[in-house]
Amino acid sequence: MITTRQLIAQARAREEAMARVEELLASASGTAHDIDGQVEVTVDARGKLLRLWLAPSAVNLGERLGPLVVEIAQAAMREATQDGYNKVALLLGEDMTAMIEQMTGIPAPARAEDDDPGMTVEEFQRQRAERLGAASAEPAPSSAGDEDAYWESFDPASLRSDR
Amino acid sequence: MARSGPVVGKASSPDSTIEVQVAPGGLLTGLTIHRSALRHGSAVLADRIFELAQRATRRAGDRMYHALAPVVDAAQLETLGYEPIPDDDPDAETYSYGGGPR
Repeated sequence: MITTRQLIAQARAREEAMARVEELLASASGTAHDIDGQVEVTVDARGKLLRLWLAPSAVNLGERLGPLVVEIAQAAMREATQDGYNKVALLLGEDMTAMIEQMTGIPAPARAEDDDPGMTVEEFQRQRAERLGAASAEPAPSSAGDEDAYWESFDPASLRSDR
Repeated sequence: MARSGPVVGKASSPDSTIEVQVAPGGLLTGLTIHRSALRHGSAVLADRIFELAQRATRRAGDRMYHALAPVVDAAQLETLGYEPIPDDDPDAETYSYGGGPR
């Protein structure tokens, strides 16, 4: 049988944990960029702009630039929300965090059905084969002068690893 | 609040070539960049958008503060980031540049 004293202690502990939650969420942030790397945005968990970077070529987008920045800011906010939940989960545990998600009505973006599950092994191998294929198709350096330039840009990761 | 629609914060450059709109909290919901604002280059443009977004965020916070102040404790509003803007602050919507109304 739980005592009143224990109940009060539990309530206090919960209150303290919730106070930390606010602090953690205030420190959460998220960054996103567009597929061409022309726009990069960092926002906090409330969506406030913390940083905006535009590539010199971004001005060539003309009137499309504005809507693109808005879109990237919203993607960054989803990252910030996830970052906040990740931090809260470390403090309160997964179950409590899932409860907070339900209370706020904002599920962690990583739970979304269309969330990018990352790259499969097959996809990685296909891209790697493509990279290696492209590397071997490059013309070999002919003269001694070219050789220095070749070694400067040499990437050891392009070596065959299967022997 | 339901009558006046969702609360937003707006700010635009003095020449109106950049217009920024944010939700309470600061998330960008609208950004219009006139072509003539592009010619100063990407770094200047990014700085200007950033400054306007900050101003718009303060304005959205000011509106939220005034909408909620009658029913919610001021300290509570402050933790949410909703603070009133003093009238003599350049970010205040009623503030007039160079004396004339805008």
